[in-house]
Amino acid sequence: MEHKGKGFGIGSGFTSEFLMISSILIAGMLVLRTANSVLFALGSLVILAAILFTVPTVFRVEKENTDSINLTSFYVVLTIAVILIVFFAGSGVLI
Amino acid sequence: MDPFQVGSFLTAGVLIVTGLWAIIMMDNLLKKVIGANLIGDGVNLVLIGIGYRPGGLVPEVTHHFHATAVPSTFSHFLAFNEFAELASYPLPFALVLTNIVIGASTLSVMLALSVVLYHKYNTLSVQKIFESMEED
Amino acid sequence: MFNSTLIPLMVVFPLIAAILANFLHQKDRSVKTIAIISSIVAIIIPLITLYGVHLFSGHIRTESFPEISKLLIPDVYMGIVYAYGPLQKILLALLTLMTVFVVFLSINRKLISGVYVAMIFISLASVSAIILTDDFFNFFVFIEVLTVAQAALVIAVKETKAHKAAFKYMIFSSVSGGSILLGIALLLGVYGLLNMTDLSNAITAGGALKPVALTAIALITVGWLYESGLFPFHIVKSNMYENAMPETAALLQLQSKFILVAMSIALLRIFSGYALLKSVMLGFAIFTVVIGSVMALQQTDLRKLLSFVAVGQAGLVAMGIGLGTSFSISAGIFHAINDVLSMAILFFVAGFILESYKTTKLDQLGEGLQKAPLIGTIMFLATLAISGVPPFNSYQSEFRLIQSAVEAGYAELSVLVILLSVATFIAVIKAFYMIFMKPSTNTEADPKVKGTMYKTIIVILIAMCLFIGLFPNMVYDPIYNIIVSLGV
Repeated sequence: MEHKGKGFGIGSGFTSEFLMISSILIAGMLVLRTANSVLFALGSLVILAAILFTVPTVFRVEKENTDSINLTSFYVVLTIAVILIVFFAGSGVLI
Repeated sequence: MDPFQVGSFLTAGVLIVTGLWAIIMMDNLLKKVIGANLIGDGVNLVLIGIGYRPGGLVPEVTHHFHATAVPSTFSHFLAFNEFAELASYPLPFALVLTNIVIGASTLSVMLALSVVLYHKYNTLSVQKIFESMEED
Repeated sequence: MFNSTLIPLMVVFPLIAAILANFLHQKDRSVKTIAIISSIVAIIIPLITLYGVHLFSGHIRTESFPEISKLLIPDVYMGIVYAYGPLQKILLALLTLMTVFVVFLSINRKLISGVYVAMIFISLASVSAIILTDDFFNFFVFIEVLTVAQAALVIAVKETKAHKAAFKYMIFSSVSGGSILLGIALLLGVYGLLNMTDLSNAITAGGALKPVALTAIALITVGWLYESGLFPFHIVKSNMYENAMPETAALLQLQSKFILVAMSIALLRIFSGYALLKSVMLGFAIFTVVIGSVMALQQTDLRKLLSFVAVGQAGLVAMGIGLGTSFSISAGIFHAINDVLSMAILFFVAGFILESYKTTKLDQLGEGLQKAPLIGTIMFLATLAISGVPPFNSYQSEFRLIQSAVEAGYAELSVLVILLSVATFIAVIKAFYMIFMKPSTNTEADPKVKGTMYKTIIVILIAMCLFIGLFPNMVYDPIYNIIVSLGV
């Protein structure tokens, strides 16, 4: 892993960091765009500030994506629950 | 719905949730494998429960039902409409048989992998096998 | 009549070849002969078969007696149906071509055990069946068969890391396979049908979905996430690609992308009026795209880097399908076809590197252009191809993806696609620099490894990429016509 301190590692780190920040911002904008425009503008600024306070994000992402079986099981159960809730709530059957 | 059918669906739900719990929470390798098999068993029970009809006939036409058979106690079942209305659903049995075979083959592969991993690490603990950081 | 027999032959013939190869295990010369002959015949069958439908055991479409059976549609298929059209032809031709390449490279690498060849053919048969079938339970059966075959292909590497990866893969396949079968069982209970065409008609005729059918959609979507390698199963799939032999990893990623396409089309056909499904698909696809490329940039091992790039590109295909319009779905399918070609070139280059340097860690490699200039050049061209640089094929498909995202009203997604292209380019060009152009090296290349088979195959593949890039409408127009006619 020693090359992470040299030129290629730094370049990749910066690129992945920038990609992560811009993706969170784009995802937030996509969701907030459907609400009214004041919420859209304020929400984007809040997300941007929140991200810039937690920089560097990419190391946390890398730790969350290690191939350990317990971490993957947790995310699988979370996904099953989220999908079931989204489908039931979106169809208007339960509330 | 028939109480027997409701009971079997509830049992299937318990099996599936137990299997999922075992896969997520148990530390022993073999317990995870058992959990994976339990999920398959629960789904098989759901499939069979769908085909249940209280007081239904086995959906096979035997020689008792043949038009030229000697008159017997089954003669009043000769009409196709009656047979169709009283027979239980024949399709889920075929699906369950196939699924049992699939479950057996995946179980065998998982057990073989557990044996190999045990020989290498001398433990069945998932924590020690999968979570230890190896320098590769 | 003869043509109708050829359609199931695309599934049956590889299975027969697999059984023969397995039976002749340890007799290497016979296994080699069977492998070469069967893979070449397997490529010919999809090309000579005409379009049509095969009804197993001759069960034709019959009346369903709606008063007695309470089915919602008047006509149903009574048996299993296999349908062969232009889209299936393109996918099967590419699949069998890549299987030929992988078989030749495995023979070249002396991996000619009968069981290994049998597993390659079983996976070919399973993916062919998944692409051809119109019956939901048949689809599930072949998904489970494919899981066992792919796990066996990874176990054959005989390293502990590979065993652990295969174990994780099988555990999560039980969860997702159980999920899919539970969804099929619930759909059978509500609608009484297993055929996909009949199910789509019945669901359209049935009005609003009941809660049981909603649970079925949710469960089948979880299964779709696993089969395609999207979040949260991207770790498991990328682990499989990383631990397999690189040539086999090229085949595995191709199979995953084609199953993604086939299963998405099946889901969108069956639940066609349901917009929430497409939004859920789109959300998970975006997540996978971002995480795949972020993780790819951080890697220091070539195979791990390529496996994360493969996962990210699968997310891009799913994004095209999740956007929902005919234009975007056909762009997504076109991108899947283009992407498997460029990823295959990169994986084959990784296979050559592994064979000649015995390691794929980027720190320990270097000065590759002096040993293998042709392979280095083609890896550079493949990097351009996979990032969407004209005149290669991914440029055409990514351009159509961006255009369809803007037309569907999601202009921000086009920004994301462009960012992903740049990130992929940076990740792979970093690998190219560190393998082929970096001045120092810690390992010596094996002088006996010539790599002529590798060079031949990747030259053929890059020529195909260039050809599709210059004449995209030959592949794109049939796909677009089919998607429009399906009406998803």
